Amino acid sequence: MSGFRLKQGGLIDRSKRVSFRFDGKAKNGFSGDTLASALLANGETLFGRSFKYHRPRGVMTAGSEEPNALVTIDRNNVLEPNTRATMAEIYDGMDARSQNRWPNLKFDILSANQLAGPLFQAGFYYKTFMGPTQKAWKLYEHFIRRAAGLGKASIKHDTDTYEKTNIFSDVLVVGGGVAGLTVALHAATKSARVLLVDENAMLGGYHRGDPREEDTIAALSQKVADHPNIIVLQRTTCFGMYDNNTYGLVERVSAHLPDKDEFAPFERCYILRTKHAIFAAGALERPLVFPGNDKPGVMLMDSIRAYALRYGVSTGKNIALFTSHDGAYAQLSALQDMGLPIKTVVDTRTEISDLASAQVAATGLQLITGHAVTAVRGHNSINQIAVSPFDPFTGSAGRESQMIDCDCLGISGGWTPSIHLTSQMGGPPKWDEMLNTMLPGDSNGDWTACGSMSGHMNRDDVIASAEVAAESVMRKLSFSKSRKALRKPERQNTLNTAPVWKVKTERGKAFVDFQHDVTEADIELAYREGFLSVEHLKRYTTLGMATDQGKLSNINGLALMAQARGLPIPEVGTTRFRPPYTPVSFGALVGDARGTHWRPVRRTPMHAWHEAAGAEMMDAGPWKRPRVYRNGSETLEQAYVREARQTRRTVGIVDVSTLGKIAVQGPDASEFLNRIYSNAFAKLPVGKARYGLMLREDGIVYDDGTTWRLGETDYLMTTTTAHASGVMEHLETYLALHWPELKVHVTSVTDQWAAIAVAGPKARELLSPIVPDTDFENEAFPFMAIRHGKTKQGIPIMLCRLSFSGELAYEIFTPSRYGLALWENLQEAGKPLELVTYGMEALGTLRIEKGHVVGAELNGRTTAEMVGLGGMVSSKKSFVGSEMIEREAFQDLHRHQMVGVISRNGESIRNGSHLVRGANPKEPGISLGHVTSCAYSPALEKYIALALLEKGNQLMGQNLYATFPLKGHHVPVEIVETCFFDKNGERMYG
Amino acid sequence: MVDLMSLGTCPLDGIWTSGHSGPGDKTGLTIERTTPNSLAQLSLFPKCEVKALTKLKKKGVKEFPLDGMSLLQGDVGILSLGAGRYLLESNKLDLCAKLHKAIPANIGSVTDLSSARTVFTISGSDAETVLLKGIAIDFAIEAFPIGKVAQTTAHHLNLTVVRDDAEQFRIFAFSTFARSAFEWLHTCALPHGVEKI
Repeated sequence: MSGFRLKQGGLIDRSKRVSFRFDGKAKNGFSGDTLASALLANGETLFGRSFKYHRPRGVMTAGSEEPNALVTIDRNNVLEPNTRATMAEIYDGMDARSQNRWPNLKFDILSANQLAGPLFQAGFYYKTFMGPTQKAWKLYEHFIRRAAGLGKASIKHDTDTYEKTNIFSDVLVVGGGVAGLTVALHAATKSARVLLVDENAMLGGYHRGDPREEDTIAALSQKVADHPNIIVLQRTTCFGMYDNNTYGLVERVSAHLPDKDEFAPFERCYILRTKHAIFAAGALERPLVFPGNDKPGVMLMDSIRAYALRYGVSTGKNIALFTSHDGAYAQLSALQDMGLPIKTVVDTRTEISDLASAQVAATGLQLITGHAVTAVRGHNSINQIAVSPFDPFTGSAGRESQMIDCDCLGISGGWTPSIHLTSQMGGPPKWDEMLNTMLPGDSNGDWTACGSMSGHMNRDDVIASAEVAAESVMRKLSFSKSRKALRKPERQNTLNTAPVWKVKTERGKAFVDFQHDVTEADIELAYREGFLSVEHLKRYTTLGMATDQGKLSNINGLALMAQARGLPIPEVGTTRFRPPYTPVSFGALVGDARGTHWRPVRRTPMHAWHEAAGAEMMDAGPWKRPRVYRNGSETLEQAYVREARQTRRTVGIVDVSTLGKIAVQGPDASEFLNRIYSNAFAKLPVGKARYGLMLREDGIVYDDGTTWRLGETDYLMTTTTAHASGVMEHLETYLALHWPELKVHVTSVTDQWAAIAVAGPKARELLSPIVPDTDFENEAFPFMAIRHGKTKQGIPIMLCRLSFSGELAYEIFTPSRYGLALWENLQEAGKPLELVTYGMEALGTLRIEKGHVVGAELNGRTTAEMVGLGGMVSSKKSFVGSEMIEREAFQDLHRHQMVGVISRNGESIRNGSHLVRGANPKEPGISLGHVTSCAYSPALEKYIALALLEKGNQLMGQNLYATFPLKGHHVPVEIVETCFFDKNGERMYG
Repeated sequence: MVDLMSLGTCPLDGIWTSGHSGPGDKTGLTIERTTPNSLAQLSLFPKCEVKALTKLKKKGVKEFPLDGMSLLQGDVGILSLGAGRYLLESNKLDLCAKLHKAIPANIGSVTDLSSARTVFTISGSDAETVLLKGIAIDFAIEAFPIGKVAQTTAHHLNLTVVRDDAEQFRIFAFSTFARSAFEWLHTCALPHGVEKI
């Protein structure tokens, strides 16, 4: 094929020359060209190599269904592989490369795969690498992976931005051809909000560029574009149809622009919710299956027309056509008038319509009826075709009767409505005898198909079907009150398509699926080997599984299987097309949810202070929490040990704003809490707090925390950071579903309160001057008492004397807008007292020393008894989980019990270590339990841990080993009680 | 004693800079931090609306908005968050205290949320388009009229959205997520040209 630019025609802007590169060579085109049209105009024939056999491939189509001309676009070193050259609009500086070839496109060493064709037939992997030969895969995998596949994805950071957004409409119209434009205008005139999407750069569909239709299309397009009720999204593909009338759309915003707007996204993904969709997506031309039908230069007949009309490009200097229907003749004279050198038409039928005959007569070209193309000569381009007599009843071709010179062969076996979207959610497609193809299946009532998509191939029928579809939808959505009977649109058979599914010959590869290199022989093989169902056929041969989703191959593949089985095509069935209709980039799906926006971050009111103080922050769910505040070159352990030690020596403060906080309010709040917690809450006095334990319905411990009684009907519940939202849902569920009679409201107030824990022997000394109106003496402010007050600066606060660290400690709550001021106030006042700010690691160390539990111990498998909180489970009342704790399994003596662990040799204990009896690391014996939390204890000057151990209470004082085989750790340990420090609580109560 | 208000901070302190961002030649919207001094949630028990209104009449509240709507009663803005649940906003500091005093516990509960939300006012011709980048709500004026309130999510964040005008919305974000909410909003607004006030 040697294409060239026609002297006239096309919708390109010939005044704007565009320079681009293909495989490193400079090329020129015009503004409005696609990469495919520009390369064809430059005389290029070879666009790529096939997936499996590395056969040379040209361009097959002019649209998104393109299976062959896949290229990689290099955008500032970010590679966009598998871009369809037929859809990529050229721009100055575009750098495109062919793919799947080595060392270059014309000479590809891996094209030797063709010689091993029989080896690579359907089921190659199943036959070669399963069973006894499975191990061979490991040997060949590297080479096979290098040889197979299409483009290579870039591993470089994608510097482009992507956008994801929502959009709403009354009516979605898919397709901007005559039918789509008609529908959109009709619906908009009835005041419906219309969204029209079309994947191409220009509206007009099939008729775009046709000089006889151009004025009509342009006027219609303008009306649609100007209508205030219509939003038109061009270069936008509707790629998926989902539940509840939700659709996925992707818009190519900047891919065609040389200088991208700094703020514009590369692509934009829309999630559309609409009341009704009208599909006017048109139809795709069907290839014919005959030997050599994949050679560069063989292309769909309509694409020859499209390149001429839209881009002013002739796809060859000597063009032949091969068809089996009358539609192919419709535009012959118009194309010849444009200068397209069409010389020959080969038709499998012995008779053609009078209209087609007239077209042939008018153009004077050679017509060969009752024949088929049986061979294509040439390697990287074609120079001759062989034509043989064709028997329409058997599909067999006779001996080659003549050779015809040509450099481009247009093929057309009929038209297939673009039913992909309706197939995704609709009923199974229906076979249509008139067109010999599938039409959309039954609608769920929320979508309608019209135009050629619904089998109306004549222009007048297309418009009539669009008008009827639009009006019926308007009536359904109550935008039209008309009751006039709607005329059922006619379907005239102007194509007279003869069902030719393959041209049977004795030799040569005839391709059905071009992108996955599936031949008609593969389908026969699948049949012979028993893969009769279309679902099996698809998976065994990979027919229709490539990125083009079998747009060109599906019908031919089904028909060939039907022929092999001797069944009518509808009985063979169809596979379901799945989203996406065309490939969608990960960037578009992700949108801006990456980098900073990968997930939202939750920050306490004191966050900025922590960062300024050099805190090393750690994730705690969505929260950012200070882990340690290192001094100079301290290690993590040195830092947390210093913080914990100093807290026990002087006073420390820690930001505990992340604790879940829930306001529980109402006359029945006490009763509610009494049912929620496993311990008693009915008689908690106003002004006091109590530690509460919450079980799940199955009796397993769910969460713990203190709850403060602020007033007669007013409680403040605190939860663990991790379970804050879960507990909130838990409470709401019980109020809404189980105890609706209780007059209680629950509200999350986590964001309302900043919370600071002050701990250490000098805690009282720190707080007294800051909160002058509060008496901090032991009797006046006993353990678990609550006080309301104001700081010297006037900041409103709530104080509760409670301790997680085992020290004399208070938690101070203040409205979060004052959190930072209070924190800074404490920092300043604490300087003379050697106040230390401590982070999560020191907080953990202090609580491990006291044997307090956290999420590591309350892991969703532990009972209250196991973690030493059996005493908090009331036997005198009913509460959530109370019915289940008497279960036999809960009383099992083999259940783990929480114990303390001390390293006997000074080595650290790894979290997750198993407790075993074996002294030999290689023969550790069975696991008796595992370590849940560990730390270096500054109070004991030893490594300590908490663990869950089988019959733990009976093993006190025994020596075991904490083993962590993956890291080679095997540490001798002693099992002790869980509280390591100040067992009588003298510091806490003092 | 220092002025209490001067001690208050906003979650956006330190990252908020007033001025224009995005394409220099256009301003599609403005974003403003407008957190009121008082925000209170009023939760009423079933069939207690009339009783509550009787108690609140003296405070200037004569009616509650319809479900999912908002209205202004004197200097108090009321947003309906669901059945019997309202968010009241005022620039006066004593709103919560007054509500506490007026509403007995057997009618409903008053919860102070003055520090729990950060409010963004978003106005301009592109406000709707920007919000759609994260919020799956049809903001067409017919579908989401002036005064309409919705509790929704965007960017994995729970938000309350209210339409104050044809081109003006307010977003109530949880304060601890406010910075993330703003950063997301700002990114969405950038291509449209945004003026931060």
